Amino acid sequence: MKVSWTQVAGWAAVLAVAAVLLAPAVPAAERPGALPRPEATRPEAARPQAPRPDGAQPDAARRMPRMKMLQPGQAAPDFELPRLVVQKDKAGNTVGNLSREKVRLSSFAGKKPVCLIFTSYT
Amino acid sequence: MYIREAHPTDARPGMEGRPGNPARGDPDVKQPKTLDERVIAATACMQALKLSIPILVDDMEGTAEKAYGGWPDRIALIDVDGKIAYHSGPGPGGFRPAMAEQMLKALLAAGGKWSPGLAPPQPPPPAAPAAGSREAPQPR
Repeated sequence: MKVSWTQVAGWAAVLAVAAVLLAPAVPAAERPGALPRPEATRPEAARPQAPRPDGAQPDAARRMPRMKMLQPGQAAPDFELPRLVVQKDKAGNTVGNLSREKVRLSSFAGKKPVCLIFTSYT
Repeated sequence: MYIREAHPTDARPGMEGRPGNPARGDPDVKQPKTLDERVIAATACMQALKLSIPILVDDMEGTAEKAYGGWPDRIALIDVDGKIAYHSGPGPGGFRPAMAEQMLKALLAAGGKWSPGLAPPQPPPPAAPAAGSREAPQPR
């Protein structure tokens, strides 16, 4: 039986179409070399993830930045924290200590507004 | 308020901010593991930056930091009735002292009381490029 090149090319085209149709559906963004999508559009960020048995946070929760936003007009979360007291010791070295008395945010209510600046050295 | 470090030299990749690099001028500070270490870091910070405002030190559980979403840095204004008057975005992009200053002035002008009309000021439009600069439209 003779097989012509036209028949070979035809069968190759049919096999190629079948391979495409039967291949597992892989989202374009998850194929190798694809650019990462924004965090909010990733499936694991959009879907709530079940808690892990070891208590570790799901991947999406670890990657998500803390974006907590307090709305103007809502009650400010209260706290009570010590103040940093910096003094010189007898040798002239600068020493920092925490104050014995703590500062409670709500103690300023009815007196004056408060500006809180959250930051660190680095 | 001193909270946990944003760029300590021992930052874990992917879990915190990028590690600080003292060779590049970053402060050589590791993430405090105890309250005593936190006080030492806060004291060094207060000295280096010559801070004169009252500084509170958050506890190791990060109680205030978590309540306000304060990490890595943030500004919040509380009005005289104990209500949130302004809550900046998280730093570094949302940390805008100039905007907080304008909001504080507006708050003080209103007797310290927040009201719905006391909206955060909009950021000023970008300044027009100086004549002759690369960004300025070139005359044809």
